[in-house]
Amino acid sequence: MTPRLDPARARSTLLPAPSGLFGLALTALLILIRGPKLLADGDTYTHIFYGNWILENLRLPDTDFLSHTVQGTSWVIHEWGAQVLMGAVYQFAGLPGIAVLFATLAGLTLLTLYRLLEDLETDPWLALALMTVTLLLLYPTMLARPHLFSWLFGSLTLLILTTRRNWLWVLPLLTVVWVNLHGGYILCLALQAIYLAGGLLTDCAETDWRSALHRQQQPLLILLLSLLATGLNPHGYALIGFYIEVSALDVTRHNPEWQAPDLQAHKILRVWLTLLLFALLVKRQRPHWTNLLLLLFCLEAALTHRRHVSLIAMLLLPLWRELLQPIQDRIATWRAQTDQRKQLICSGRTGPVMTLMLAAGLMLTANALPPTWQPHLQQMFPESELLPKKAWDYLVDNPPTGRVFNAYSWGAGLIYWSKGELPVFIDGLTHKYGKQVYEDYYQIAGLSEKAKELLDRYEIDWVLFPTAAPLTRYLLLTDEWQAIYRDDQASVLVRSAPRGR
Amino acid sequence: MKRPIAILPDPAGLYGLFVFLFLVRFAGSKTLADGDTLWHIKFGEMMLKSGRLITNDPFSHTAQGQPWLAHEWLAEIFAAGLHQIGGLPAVAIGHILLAALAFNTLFLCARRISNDWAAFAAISLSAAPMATTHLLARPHLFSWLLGALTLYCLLRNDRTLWALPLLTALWGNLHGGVLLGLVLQGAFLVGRFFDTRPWLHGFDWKCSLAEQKRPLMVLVLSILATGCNPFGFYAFLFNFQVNAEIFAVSIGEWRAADFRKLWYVRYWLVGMFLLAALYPRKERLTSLDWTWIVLLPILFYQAMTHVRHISIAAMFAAPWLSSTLQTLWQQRPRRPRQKKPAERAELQLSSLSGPTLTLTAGLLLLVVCWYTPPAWQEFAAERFSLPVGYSQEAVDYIAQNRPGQRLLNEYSWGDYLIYALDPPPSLFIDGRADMYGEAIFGDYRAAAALKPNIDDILERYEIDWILFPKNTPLVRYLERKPDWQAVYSDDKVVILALTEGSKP
Repeated sequence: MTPRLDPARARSTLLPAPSGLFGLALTALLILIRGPKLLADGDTYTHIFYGNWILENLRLPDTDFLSHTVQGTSWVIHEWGAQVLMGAVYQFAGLPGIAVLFATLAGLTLLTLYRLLEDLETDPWLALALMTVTLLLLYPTMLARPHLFSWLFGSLTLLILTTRRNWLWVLPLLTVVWVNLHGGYILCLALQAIYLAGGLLTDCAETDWRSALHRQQQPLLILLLSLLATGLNPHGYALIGFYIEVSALDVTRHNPEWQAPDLQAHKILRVWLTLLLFALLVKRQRPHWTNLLLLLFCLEAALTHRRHVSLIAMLLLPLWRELLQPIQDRIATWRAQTDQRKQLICSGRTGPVMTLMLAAGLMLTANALPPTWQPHLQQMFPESELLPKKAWDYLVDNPPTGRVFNAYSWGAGLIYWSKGELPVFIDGLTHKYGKQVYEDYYQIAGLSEKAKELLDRYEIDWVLFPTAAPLTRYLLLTDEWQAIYRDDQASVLVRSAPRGR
Repeated sequence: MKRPIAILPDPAGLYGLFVFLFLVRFAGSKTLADGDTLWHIKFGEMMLKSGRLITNDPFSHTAQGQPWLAHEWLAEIFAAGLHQIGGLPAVAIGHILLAALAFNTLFLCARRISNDWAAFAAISLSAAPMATTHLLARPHLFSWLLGALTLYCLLRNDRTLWALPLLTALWGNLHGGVLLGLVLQGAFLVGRFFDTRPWLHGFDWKCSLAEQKRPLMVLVLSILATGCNPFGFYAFLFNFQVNAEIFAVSIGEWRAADFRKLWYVRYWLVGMFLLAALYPRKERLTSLDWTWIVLLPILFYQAMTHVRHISIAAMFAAPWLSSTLQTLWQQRPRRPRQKKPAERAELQLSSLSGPTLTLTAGLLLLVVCWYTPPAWQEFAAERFSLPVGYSQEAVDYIAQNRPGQRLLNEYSWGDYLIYALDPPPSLFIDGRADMYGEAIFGDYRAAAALKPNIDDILERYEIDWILFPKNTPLVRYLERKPDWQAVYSDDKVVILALTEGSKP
């Protein structure tokens, strides 16, 4: 039986549409399988800390108080909404709650994209195949961080712009929420601009440019409203200046997620791009202008930064759908010949509601579980193994004095465990530290000729760094440093003699 | 009326000549920027001197005596011959000549399925800039030229196809890229088969195959011709054996492109996808639709995997690009012309004059290299210099004082030492990574990256002296160890030796 979405009859049925079932099943699977990996990134823990701090103090931090390198320097906390939500969930259901929250966001994102394909009358099997590939491309960057809000909001924007044009007025409201959650809100404006330009180009082929502009009056107005809506955040329009400042900061050289994707290592992406080229060459008609502009935008973004690979996975679905039209036609013909049974009427709402209920239920369960069950939960959703927990346990009992030089990815762990009591050298929120501290960090970590001098200049008294790193082994060869703790993962070194001797 | 004899070079020939002169003027040092050029010259010289092929490693202490397949032996003799004529400038000029002739041929290929302007645009905007990513005086430039000639024969699709097995036999002795020739032939065979639309006449495969009889026979003969080299078919299979992951992730040219650094490659790739989307299949100019549909994804898959294949993809996609550009240009919206253009007499052009002029210019420059007049010496020193990372002073020091027997050297310095010293010191590694194998190469990587097993590696290979660039973690680490001391240092490189008491 072919499932069919019928808004008119949807109220009378509870049977979820394939997209809803897909979203629900995927969310459950992600919680079970991806749950621990969602918590693997250090930045998650900094966001949780800030969320808790804001909830406790009921104000936003405007200067740094977590490091000794930029303490007191003003900074813009642009993801405060996501951090507050993360803090609240953490206080209610701990780390399992965080994993459930972000798995649900990912599940709802894919549900929305599947719904988009359903709106485009894609055969369920073809849609499932496309969604599987999308999932594979999204999987490596699926982490419990605020960018997953951008995934969901981005897919909603795409859905509205592609098939739900009567909901266009929702976009400025979406922008208001989005701008307080994650910097990816720029995507909402970019997508609107692309659809506007695509519409104009298409209309210009049919009529003169004045009429074309007239036809695009409503999207243009909504884009302007969305632009205005970006100012509705605690920092106002200064936030845009902040993004320009951050993009000028050369964080790309060392930070993997800002580097270009390694297409040799990322086999799925490489094959996906090759198949896309093949499909583009085989096609019979030129794709729609909007899809062409989306192709340009997404390819440029994804080939520049690997964190933007998610864009091509999500935003090129309408193009794929257009390119696969001949296959869709063949399937439709075959179905018309073979499938004579009645169509199933499905509801488009049941799936998302059930997914949200599942998430809420799991969070409630995590909250209500007796203390004897908590170790099992912690086992299911452990803290990131990449953070040096054993070394921290040692430091709790034997705290060294003075300033620390810590590994970049461990700064978040130190902030989270010490509840902000231990000022770090650096953590994952690079923009807070500025170019100088960032460059100096890599000079020391990369054992440049200035390493020793910089350790003195920053008045470093102890070092928490990977045991196998050249820096650790080099410092141990000098008579100025000695190890007070070592395990396979991390070493704690302190100065043998006071600084300056 | 009798046609006058054409002497003037055609646009393709002029383009080749321009490329040659431009590269000699501006890209001489770039072609010598890779260490591999140096060991190719040295091995060619050794083969010329001894009159036989080298089959074992003579230079390292890590793989000494180990069998080595000199599968590019003819290209190495070519490089050595040039070096004997006029040193490194002659080597660079000889290889630039190969590149220029390749571009000449590519222009001819593009011209076969489009007009001159489209061919000029496609090669100038795509093939030429992307070729700079791998423009080095090394045997792969033979693959550029022979690949372009193969493409030309395939586009002609006439009796010239019979030249392909001979071309393949020659290619098999010059460079491992011989596989490219077979891929091109295969793509054209499959493409032309699909272009006959076999599904329209009930998949009459016999009929469709009959049309492809000649290309199929040529392909079979070409496959057989790959065995016409001193190592037989093993040289061909060797290509598949050197694709180990450790080399692919460690050696710069085998890695994937960093699209942030190579921003122009990123724009090119995005542009090619866009043109593929705009590719007007319905109104195609040629009957080569499926050939490009088969060939382009293969080329681009390779270009996305290894940075060294970007040049190949851009060059061999140039005819498709020129045909696409021309069609898109013709489809642009335009007003009807009021006046008919005046008819002009057609200029008689020769397709041979251009390559002849280019070859003559090349030979003249080689003669200049041979005589080395004072004005040329200054130009050559400025325009055909080795990378700045190499230090002649360090080489002079080693020539007079060998600090030890078993050296741990930086990868590209291995090539330089092979070239600059006779005999070179006993090396740890050089540019022939495939000969050293995964184990030795892996140990080199671990040592260079200062992995925890560094001391074990130094002990296992009984290393007693080290030559590494200054300011590397390895040098800084060993300088701190009491059993190592710096015996030479300049602003580029440091030589460390085991102290007397620490020597085994």
